[in-house]
Amino acid sequence: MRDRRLRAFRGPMLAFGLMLGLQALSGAVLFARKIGLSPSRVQAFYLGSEAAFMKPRTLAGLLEVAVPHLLAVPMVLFITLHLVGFVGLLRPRPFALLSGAAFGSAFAGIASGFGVRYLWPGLAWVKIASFVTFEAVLLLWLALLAALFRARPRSEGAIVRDGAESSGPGRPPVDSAGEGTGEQHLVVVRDHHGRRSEALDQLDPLAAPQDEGGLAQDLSVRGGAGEDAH
Amino acid sequence: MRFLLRPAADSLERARPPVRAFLAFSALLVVAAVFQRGIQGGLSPAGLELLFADAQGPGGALSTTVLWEEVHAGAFLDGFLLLTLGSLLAVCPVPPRLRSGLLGAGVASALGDLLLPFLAFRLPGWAALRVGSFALLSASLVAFIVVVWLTFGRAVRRDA
Repeated sequence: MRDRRLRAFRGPMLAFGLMLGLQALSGAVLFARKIGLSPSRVQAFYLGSEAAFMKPRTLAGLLEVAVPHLLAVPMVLFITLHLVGFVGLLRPRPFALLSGAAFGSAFAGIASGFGVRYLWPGLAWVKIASFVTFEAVLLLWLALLAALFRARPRSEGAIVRDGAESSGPGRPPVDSAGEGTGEQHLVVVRDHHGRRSEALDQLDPLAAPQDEGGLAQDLSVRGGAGEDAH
Repeated sequence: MRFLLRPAADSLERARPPVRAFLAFSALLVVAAVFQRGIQGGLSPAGLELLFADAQGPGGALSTTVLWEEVHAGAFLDGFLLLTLGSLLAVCPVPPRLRSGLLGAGVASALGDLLLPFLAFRLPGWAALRVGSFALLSASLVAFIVVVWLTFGRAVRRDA
């Protein structure tokens, strides 16, 4: 586990990831079957088609789909980004870009349905592009969620335990041996500029309840006091 | 999330009232889902087979789009509940086997409940399996709720 404080949550996170994968899969199937992956089919879905005996979508019908998605999609993204972001798996800029792509494509996907119906049929391309982007980004976030269970710390705010920097891939040597004992070990913190700082810390954060400042506050203090490696 | 990752006794104590309120609503959700399934006739194999037979088209083919819609909505609900209840249970002073057993039962039964309808009329006994999956899912969620209700905030878990 990349951050051992998350180890206890491995099972629930895996369950969430599995269900998220099912949601992405079912969403793709439903989009392809009900709406379609060509602009003409998207336009027929929203504007109706005499040939296919389809009525235009009503505002009530559009809202019936949009409202639950406006709750569910941001919530799923928020949870996933929260978990991935907590351990600093990505550098801040890629994290922000991917977050923006996820939320942006989700918004564009929901809004473009209304756009096709009431503004301009040409927005069908936006509907398709935003859906494909959203699915791709969602799969990427799923992969990042899976990476929490195996990746080594690398980016800002990540914790590298004693000896882990030169020990190659895999778990740091002290992590399993001293588990839950409350022993003190050297904690090395690197930010995204490569600045390095060190501090002695309890090996088991659960064994030594601290103030409510949270991880970010702890690390910002340590990082600020650290020496510059360059 | 902070109080889950730094489960000090006082912070868990403070979190207990909203956690119990959430558990109460989760219990209501499970009860309502069971009633809803019962009204649809989905709590017995015979009723479920009848329900799916009615949903078949003229050619005898079941509309799989409807099934995918159920998967789409159900996966969100099950995933959110399993993550939330599982995370709360992770800081409760219960044996790890109980924790993993409840989660395993919840995940397996959720998958069964969501995916077994695709095998309708193709797999002998599919209806009984789906009814069983739903019963196990409901039972495991209720067990999650009861255990978290009784043990959350009792003591700081040390066996992470």
